[in-house]
Amino acid sequence: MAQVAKDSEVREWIDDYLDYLFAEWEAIPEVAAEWDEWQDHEQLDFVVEWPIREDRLRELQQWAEQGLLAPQQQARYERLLALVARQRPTLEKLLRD
Amino acid sequence: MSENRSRHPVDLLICELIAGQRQAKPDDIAHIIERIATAPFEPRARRVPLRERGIAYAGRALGAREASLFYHLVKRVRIERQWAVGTSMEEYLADLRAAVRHPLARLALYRERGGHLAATSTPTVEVVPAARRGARPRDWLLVIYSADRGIMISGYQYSSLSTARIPGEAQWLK
Repeated sequence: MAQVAKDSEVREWIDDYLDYLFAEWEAIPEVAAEWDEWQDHEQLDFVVEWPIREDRLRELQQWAEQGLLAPQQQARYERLLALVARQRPTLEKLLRD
Repeated sequence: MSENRSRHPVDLLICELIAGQRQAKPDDIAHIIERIATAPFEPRARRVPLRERGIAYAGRALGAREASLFYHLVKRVRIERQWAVGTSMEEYLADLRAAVRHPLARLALYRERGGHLAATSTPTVEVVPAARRGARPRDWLLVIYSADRGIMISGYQYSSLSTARIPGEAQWLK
């Protein structure tokens, strides 16, 4: 019973992380479009806080490798990885800028 | 930025250490810790992304521009769920200050985007009371300080230093 509760809790975290990461990575084009209008402190804030997304993505990757994602979550996760791959070059440019 | 550049001796010390112009002494580390722990949070207002406008917390909703401390708190509580609903700006800031001062805190100095930053990393459970931990707490609490301006600029929880964007050439003083 405890294991069922734990699995259910992990799946809840996974859904939460997927929702969060889709929102953050889908916003990259909007950030890039506005970037030059941002003040220095706003750009620096984005750069120093971006690792929260990478941290959650890394945890999600670990859960996927451990087989903890339900089939629907796995499908969403694969769509997320495709989104990350598309947005990564734009993001890296912002972080380097 | 030059007109707002901090001339505080400890901030200048941080810049000199990052530039490799001197070696840190034990007293230096204590002074840096105290400087970060007593620094104000970024005082300037900042823009709020469109998708986050309207998120309500503590009786008000995020507008187009917000005080940086309030914006960070709303992200930590409502979006990332690192801190519990009900955490105030004062409590969030108190947790960051406690993290900086904690004996287990590690301290790194490094450059980012041409600026001089200091960061501390502390076990979250040591400094954030259980009642203030949110539904998605993480093991470590990172606090980031700008020595160029003498202000705290961010504080959040994370699970692995490998994702924290602290460069390999950072100087770890403790």
